[in-house]
Amino acid sequence: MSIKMPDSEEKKRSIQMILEKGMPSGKCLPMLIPDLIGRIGIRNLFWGTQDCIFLALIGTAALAILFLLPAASYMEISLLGLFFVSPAFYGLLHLLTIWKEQQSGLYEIKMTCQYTLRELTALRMVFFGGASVLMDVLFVLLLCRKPQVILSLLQMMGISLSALFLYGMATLMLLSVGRKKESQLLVPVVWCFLCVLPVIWKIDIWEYLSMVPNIVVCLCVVFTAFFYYFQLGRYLSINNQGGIYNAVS
Amino acid sequence: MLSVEHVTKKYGSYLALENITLEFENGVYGLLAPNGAGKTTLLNMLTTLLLPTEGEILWEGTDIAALGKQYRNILGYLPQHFGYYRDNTPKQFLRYLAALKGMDGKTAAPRIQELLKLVALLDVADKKMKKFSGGMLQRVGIAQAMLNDPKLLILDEPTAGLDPRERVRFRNLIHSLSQNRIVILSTHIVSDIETIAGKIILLKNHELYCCKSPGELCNMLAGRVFEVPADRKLSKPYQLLGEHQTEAGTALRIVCETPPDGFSPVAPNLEDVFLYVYGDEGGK
Repeated sequence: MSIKMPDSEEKKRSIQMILEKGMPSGKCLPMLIPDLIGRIGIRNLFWGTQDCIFLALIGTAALAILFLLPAASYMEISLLGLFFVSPAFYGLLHLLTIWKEQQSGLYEIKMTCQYTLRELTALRMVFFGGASVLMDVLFVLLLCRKPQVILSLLQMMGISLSALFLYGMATLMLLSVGRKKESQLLVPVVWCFLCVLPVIWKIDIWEYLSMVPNIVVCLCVVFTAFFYYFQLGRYLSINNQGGIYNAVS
Repeated sequence: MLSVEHVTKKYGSYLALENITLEFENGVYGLLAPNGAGKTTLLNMLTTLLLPTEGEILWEGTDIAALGKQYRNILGYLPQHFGYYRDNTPKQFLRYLAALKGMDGKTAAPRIQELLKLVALLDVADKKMKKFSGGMLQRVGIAQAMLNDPKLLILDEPTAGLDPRERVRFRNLIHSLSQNRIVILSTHIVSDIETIAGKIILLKNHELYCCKSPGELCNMLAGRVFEVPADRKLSKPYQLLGEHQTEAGTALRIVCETPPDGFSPVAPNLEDVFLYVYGDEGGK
């Protein structure tokens, strides 16, 4: 009985697969992200999303006017507003671009490309996060001008950036496990609810926050940024199998 | 070679496909079944858009889920509902998708020119696609599926909504693309594939009914298809396939196990086979 031996092409493919699976990945996240962006191109990354960016800017500006500059100028409400509005640009951009991808009819084609919608979404989130950080700096500088604000600039930046990274982390976790496209609305709904709770329960957290040392504030930002970064890497590394249920829904 | 090994797909308690086993080599395969039979489900699994509930799909002996990017690199896909950016020209759109398929600008530009020429859209390459007809958009769709010169080309109902002239053009295009690659084309329109497919796959009751050449399928009904005048009363049981106009009036095309008196069998065609196999679905 003769056994058919694999030909040289088959041997090469098998060796390649063993190496890819067995050897650690060559690129860590800080190298992988710029590499992917370089290969895809920033223009292609945001192709067809110009209207989403415009609408997200308008929406964020409206929320900032509503919640950061209230006529009554209550300090607690302004600071709650900061916590609430800090991830607004990020959240709106994310929801609008996902909605656009689902409406465009290109969802299936993009999920069968070499660089899938999952990778596009993850890379876009890096830019959304960066743009949101700049927005948050602006919001904090606006609030600093209010005489009744008792928190320092560093503390307010800490609140703002922690809120942003916390929201981003929750969004990424949901993207990794969510099976229905409606699940993407869960994070903004829960976020709104969390922000309203202190007002309903009349919790005066801001006086306690003002006593928190700056080092703790900085550590909070570092931790939330780290976990956001970790979730981003985890989301990027999930295999595309079962694509329809593993991209943006 | 692409292998489908005992693949089953369930959506909750609903069984979409059961125990499908197929092998594909270079050539055109027609996936022919009525609406709702599971064609798109099967194609979604072949394109990694869905996971099988049971079984596996292998490319050159390796699970396509494990291959990941490597498999998507050899895959070209045109879905049933093809979306596009209305304000893009075909060139812009193809350049964008070429980037997502991992092609650099230098490689993509000549390839896009070549494909636009192949699908006869070179003269409208810089016109916005919102002005295109359905046939033109489908041709952009086939061009994007061919960008990476795929070894596996999957087309889900590519001729839906096209007029007869466009369908003929599309058939000729597919035939010209079928050299040295696997082409899987799903449709419920028999004429789309009867002249270009080397093998026809029929799905019935969520299972594989058969995978045969058009000639073999037609032989299933050899000697059993008859044409009789519509006003003739038949005493023997028969299955009606359809009717058409002749010089002598309306004629019925039927399948009958025993020949009606005074009639000789006619050569069966693929449409006869389709109507015979699926005739009991949705009532006769």
